[in-house]
Amino acid sequence: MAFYDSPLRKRAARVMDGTMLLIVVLVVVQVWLLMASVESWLAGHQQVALPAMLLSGALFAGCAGLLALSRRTDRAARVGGTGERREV
Amino acid sequence: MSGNPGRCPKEERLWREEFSVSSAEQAYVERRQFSRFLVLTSGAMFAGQVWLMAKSWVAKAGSVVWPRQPVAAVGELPVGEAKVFQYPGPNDNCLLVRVSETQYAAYSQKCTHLSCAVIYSAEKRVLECPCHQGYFSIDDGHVVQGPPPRPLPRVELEVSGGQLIAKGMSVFGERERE
Repeated sequence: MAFYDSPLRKRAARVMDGTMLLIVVLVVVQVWLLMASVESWLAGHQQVALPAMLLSGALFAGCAGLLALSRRTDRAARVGGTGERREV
Repeated sequence: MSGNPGRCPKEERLWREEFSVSSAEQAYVERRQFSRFLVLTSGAMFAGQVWLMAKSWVAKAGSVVWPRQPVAAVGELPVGEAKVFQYPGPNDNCLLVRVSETQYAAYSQKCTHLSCAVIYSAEKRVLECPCHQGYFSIDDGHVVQGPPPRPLPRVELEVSGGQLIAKGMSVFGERERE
């Protein structure tokens, strides 16, 4: 049980919650962006497609980066100080 | 009481041992699984934007070829009347309106809100969507009032040999730039 109470595990859990929340926010922004750009595109404003694509790409990269961060933290917590692999 | 009454309990226990994964365990989603799913969703949104960009490039390259199609004879319609025709495909209803003695206008009949069929109101000089009271200008198809988010696509017309010919479609934003 000591593993579950360890500061490393608590930190990993906090990082996981935080990144998940941020990813949710970024995905919601992306959904809104796609909806708005499709609407504009159908109205004939085709010039919005490029900046919207770049912004969406940046948001996707942000999401992937946050996932990588949470996985790294998770891995560090699983291995812990003992080097033994544990399920969080 | 569970299981088949025709089978003995021992047989059922064996079945449970063979398939030992419970549905509750299957439905459980870990935070890291949920995060991965969200990132996949994010990738799908990005793919959607790339698709939109690709469509813009294709449209810019001018690869869309509109058919030329006779719609009506000049003078066939009385002033203030409208006629439904199909353009560019057989399932794409459009509306031809004789606005004045010399002026004709044609628009897609599909409302840009929820695709109801628009009708021409001669006294108000607007195209009206009866479903949610959306109104479009007969002059250029822009939204005058109501919930539609964008203008009606316009059918480009040409007079040739006493016939009104549909030769393409454009939307309000495209016409602004031309």
